[in-house]
Amino acid sequence: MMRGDVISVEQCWALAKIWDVDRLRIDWRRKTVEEIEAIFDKVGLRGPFWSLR
Amino acid sequence: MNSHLQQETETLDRAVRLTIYRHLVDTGEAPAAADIAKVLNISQLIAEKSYLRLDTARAIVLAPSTMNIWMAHPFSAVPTPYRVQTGKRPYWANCAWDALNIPALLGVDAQTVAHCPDCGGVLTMTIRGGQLLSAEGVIHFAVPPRRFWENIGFT
Repeated sequence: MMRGDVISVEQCWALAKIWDVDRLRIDWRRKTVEEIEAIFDKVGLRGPFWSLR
Repeated sequence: MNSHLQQETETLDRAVRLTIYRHLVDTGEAPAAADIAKVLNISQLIAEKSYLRLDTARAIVLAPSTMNIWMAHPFSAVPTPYRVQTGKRPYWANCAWDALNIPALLGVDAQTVAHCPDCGGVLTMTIRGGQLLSAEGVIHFAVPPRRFWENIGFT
């Protein structure tokens, strides 16, 4: 059973403000692993749970 | 696929994807492939093939064994515990995170009141003027990001 992780709403809002803001652009594309890692790191989402590798 | 045809396909898929999102933003509902076909003046079959490619590319999520859009992140095409009230219109979000992604994407004020499906606790989030005004509760991620797409419905 996965325990998961709990984050504050403030931290999730910080994530939201930089995560999906290009969805309405014609040139939207899925983020690379490196781009996702950089975003997670920027808002303090670190550790094994947030690791993509 | 030769490079010219591949480029045409990618251009079509980008247009279909954006048209899907514009429809969702304007109506709160996901369009059928036939709706997209009319807007872009293409056949329904071509629109459906594009839907399948976008699903494979994880740009949208089709409901299993159908051509119906289930999710176009951060929007859900079906009711969820996360109803996002905005000044523009209400939307369904796929999860608490997406309930914040919607006002971030649209640049609108929003409020979401949801009950955590795990613990039953109330989660209230209010966004106004690009600021988080009130926030009660926490956001639980049950699945690590590297495994989000193993079962995106559960995620």
